[in-house]
Amino acid sequence: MSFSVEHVTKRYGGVTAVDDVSFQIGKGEFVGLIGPNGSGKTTLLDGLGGYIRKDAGRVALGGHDLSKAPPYELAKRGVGRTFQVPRVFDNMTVVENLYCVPAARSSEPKEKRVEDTMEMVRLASVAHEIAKNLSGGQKKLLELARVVMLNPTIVLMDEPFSGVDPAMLESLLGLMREMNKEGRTFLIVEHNIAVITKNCGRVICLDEGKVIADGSPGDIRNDPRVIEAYLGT
Amino acid sequence: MAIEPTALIQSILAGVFVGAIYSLVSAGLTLIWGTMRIVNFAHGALMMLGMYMAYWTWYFLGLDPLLSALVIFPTFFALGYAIDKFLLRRIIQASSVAQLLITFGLTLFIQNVVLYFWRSDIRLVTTSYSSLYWHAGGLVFDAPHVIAFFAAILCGIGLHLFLTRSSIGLAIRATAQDREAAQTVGIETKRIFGMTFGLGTALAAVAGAIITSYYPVNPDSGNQFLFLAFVVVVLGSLGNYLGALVGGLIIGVVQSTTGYVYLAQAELPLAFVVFLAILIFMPEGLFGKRLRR
Amino acid sequence: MRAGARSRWSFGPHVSEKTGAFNAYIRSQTIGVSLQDSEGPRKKSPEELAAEQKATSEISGPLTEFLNKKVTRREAISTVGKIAVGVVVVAAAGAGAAYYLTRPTGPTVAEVVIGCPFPLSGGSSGLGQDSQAMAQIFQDQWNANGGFKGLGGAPLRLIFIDNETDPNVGRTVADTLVNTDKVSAVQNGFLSGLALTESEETEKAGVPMVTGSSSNPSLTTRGFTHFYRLWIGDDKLALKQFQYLKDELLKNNPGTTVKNIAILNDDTLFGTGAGKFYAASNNDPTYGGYNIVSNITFHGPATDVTSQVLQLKSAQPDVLFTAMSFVADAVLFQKAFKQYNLDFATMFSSAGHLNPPYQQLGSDAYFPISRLPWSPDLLVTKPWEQKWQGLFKAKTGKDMYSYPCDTYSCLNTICDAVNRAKSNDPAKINTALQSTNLGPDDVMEGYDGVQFSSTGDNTKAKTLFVQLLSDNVWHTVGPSPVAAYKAVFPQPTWADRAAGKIPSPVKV
Ligand SMILES: Nc1ncnc2c1ncn2[C@@H]1O[C@H](COP(=O)(O)OP(=O)(O)OP(=O)(O)O)[C@@H](O)[C@H]1O
Ligand SMILES: [Mg+2]
Repeated sequence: MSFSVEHVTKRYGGVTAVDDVSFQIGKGEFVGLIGPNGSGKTTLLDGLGGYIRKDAGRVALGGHDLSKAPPYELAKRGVGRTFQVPRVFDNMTVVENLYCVPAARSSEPKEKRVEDTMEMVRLASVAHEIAKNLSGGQKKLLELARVVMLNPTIVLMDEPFSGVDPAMLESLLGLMREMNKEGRTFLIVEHNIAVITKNCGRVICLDEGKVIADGSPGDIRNDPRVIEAYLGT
Repeated sequence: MAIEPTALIQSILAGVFVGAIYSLVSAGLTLIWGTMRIVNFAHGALMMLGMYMAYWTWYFLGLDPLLSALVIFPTFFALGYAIDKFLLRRIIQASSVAQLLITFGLTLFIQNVVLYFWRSDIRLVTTSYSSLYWHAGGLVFDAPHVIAFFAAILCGIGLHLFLTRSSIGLAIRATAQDREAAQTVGIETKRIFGMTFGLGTALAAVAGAIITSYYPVNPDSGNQFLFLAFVVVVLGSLGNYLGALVGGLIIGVVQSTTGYVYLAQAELPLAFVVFLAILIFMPEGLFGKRLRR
Repeated sequence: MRAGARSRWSFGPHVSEKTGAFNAYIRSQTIGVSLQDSEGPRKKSPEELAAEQKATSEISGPLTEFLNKKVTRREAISTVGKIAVGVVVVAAAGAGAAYYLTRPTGPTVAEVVIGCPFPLSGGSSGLGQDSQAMAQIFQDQWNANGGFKGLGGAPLRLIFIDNETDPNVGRTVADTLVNTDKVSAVQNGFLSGLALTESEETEKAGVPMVTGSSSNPSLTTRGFTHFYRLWIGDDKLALKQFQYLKDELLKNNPGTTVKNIAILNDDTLFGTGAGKFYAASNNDPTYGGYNIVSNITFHGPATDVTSQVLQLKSAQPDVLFTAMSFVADAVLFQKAFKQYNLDFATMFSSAGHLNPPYQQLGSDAYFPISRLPWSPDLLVTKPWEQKWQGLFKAKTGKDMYSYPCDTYSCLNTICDAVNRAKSNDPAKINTALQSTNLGPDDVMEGYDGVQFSSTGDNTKAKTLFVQLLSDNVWHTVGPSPVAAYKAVFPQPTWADRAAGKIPSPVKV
């Protein structure tokens, strides 16, 4: 199930936030998406996730055209998504946050899936806590757990590690690696280059809405255009 | 005038009885507001339609209003769903003025249709327990109020279980809290809006139906309740159904006891003063911070 | 569109005139053809009308002159215009000719238009709809009997308009009636709040208004010169009830004593006013002097009345004076009185209790006493009313009751004045109204007739005291010269009622 992005473009007035972006991600890849502030990373993710109308371009998963699909349709097709600031359902308990996910993509009973997921993300101790009382890191875990409930093919994550303390970062990364091992694809937006180069097999770099580099972490680190984009001239 | 303890208890209980009805009406109203961000002015008219359906099923089939409530619930759920699908879905993104006009217009439409067919005369339902009273420790209870109260409590519990245990109930709450995030996890919010409006409408209609055993039915019947329901919804923190359920009881008791110990004419103004005080001192309502965004 | 202004928020055709077609339908509820009606529903612009009048007078001359006296000849209009309006004119002339032939005497006025604002929706819509039915019957009968004799048989045309039981809407519709529809007079049935605002507009426009049982005293103390009332003000009525209590009820039943009374009224204009007059009447040296142990104003229509009833229960009045506008409240209170076992020697009541649906309570509803201009016992003393009772029943399925009778008498009073004025000019009708002198059989109520004082009050008005007896009919139980039945006083206690001790009606 490869995820293909072709010529995606998004303009805001005079600003072209995402400018003719194309790439393909194969099944099971763990891809980092980097770029300086305002380079269009969040906009691209929103475009892929169906939150904003793209001005041009095509998005497909395993051959299914998802260019015009609304977010819930994408979710049902196996595209998971987390946000820069986690958006858990504040007034619901941790368990309720998982239960409310429609069981469209799994034959297992929901109870079991919720139980397994709670186990996997190690939130069992706060299972009946109201979500708004969780720590920032726990909220990120919970948001990812909701994605797990979707049984996703690909997960789009916007800055999953920002504001997460080192211990929590390890459990979050552990969970992501575990999911990745199950064959789930990841596309992660991240500022922390160290984390990206250490964990991603491939890195895509955006600048002013354009893809300026796409390759292994080693290549990216040495790419003069990337260095220029980050350090300026 | 001396305040007599039994009379005070009696008036508190009367407040609880009528308050439970406010709770049901308000819970529907607050669910619709919380989830769809629509102020549903047609809520009172839909409640009144529920009263008429209970009346006519009693009149023609001899069905007790409590039994007809079992039919009224699904009927009005479907009606509410249809109203959303054919009317509200078009304006869900529109300005609040457009939404206000459409629900207000719906109110007038319903009221005038009812007026046209059934005129404005009040109608009374008489049940086998209409004149059944229970006496206990100097207190008098009439069966219609007590039965309607327990029916309302059952509905309230049912609503709570539905919203905390069922997938659709949870999806409704998720949608109310964050529409986009709900879509992200695969919840088809369009359908949830329909379900919410259906549920809210059904609650109002059932509240109307179960009080017909003691409350006169006429085309204006819903309005008295709608006004108080708005107070309750704000009191119980906009969009919070538990707040509305508890708030309804509070307003019922405030209204009834102030009517007894203070001045009868104070009861509505006082409910209004409570309302304003809460808006000023606790803009988020009694039950926490629902409206962050 | 016009309909919008008439009934701003109503959609149902029953209540408003939503479409032009329906508008025309309502407007053409008259026998005979008027120029305006034959033109159909579309409202013509002033220019069109002027052009048409010119053309009319030029082409068909004298024939149409009787249809519209204000026709003026001025400069000739273009030939094209003449041909264009010719078609319309021929049609109008045809209609006019037909009309002319059915009317042996050449009337100077095509029709007499009277405005009827009614509460067709809102809190009192049931009463309004019944009154409208009576007005329609009146119009049909009046025209079937040859229309206005004083105007060569010109027909009566009523314009119905919904005031939504809302005084502000009432003001707007009254303005429409006098300024747009140019009615000759306005009848206003029975609601003081509406009479108050509507009459301000009619007074300004110099159009007379006759109201029936709008009983707020201030209505006739405003110095208006175009306002007339057939019935008595609440202040005098309140005192008459105290008088009836002392002079008849207590005198005839010496075993019963009354020391404590309570007043219970809603917060409408009527309710608060009536409540005040009860309290004031208690200061009367002859008929007052009881202890007022409770004086309650509640918000109507109410959702629950337990707390008010408990207050009354603690106060233990012997007699309760009530003033409730809404029948729903009357029902809620009566049920609560039963639940909490509140017994009074008697309960004086009015508006809400008199609304027929109150009687759905069956035997629990019995025995309040009220004051009314009309009761069904008049069907016996005035047999001619039976025909109207029959017509009313055929149209509404209900027995005639006091409010529709108000409408009959208002319209009859106006029509009498129009006949004597021999004109549809509001000013002339007003002058005629001032010298009205009608007898007991010109009105349905138990009045001696109609004659207006300088304030517009009917000096021949009288009140009946009626009681809902156990045949579920409001019978005349006072004052003694006209009483048809004996008053049940004191009324049976709830315990007695439960034991089946419910007295039967006893004729005097
Ligand atoms: N709703 C919007 N309206 C107008 N311009 C927008 C909007 N959203 C984003 N932009 C612009 O699009 C460009 C890309 O923004 P975007 O948020 O995608 O960048 P980003 O790479 O996620 O930045 P950061 O690293 O700060 O999160 C910026 O110039 C931004 O100002
Ligand atoms: Mg961003």
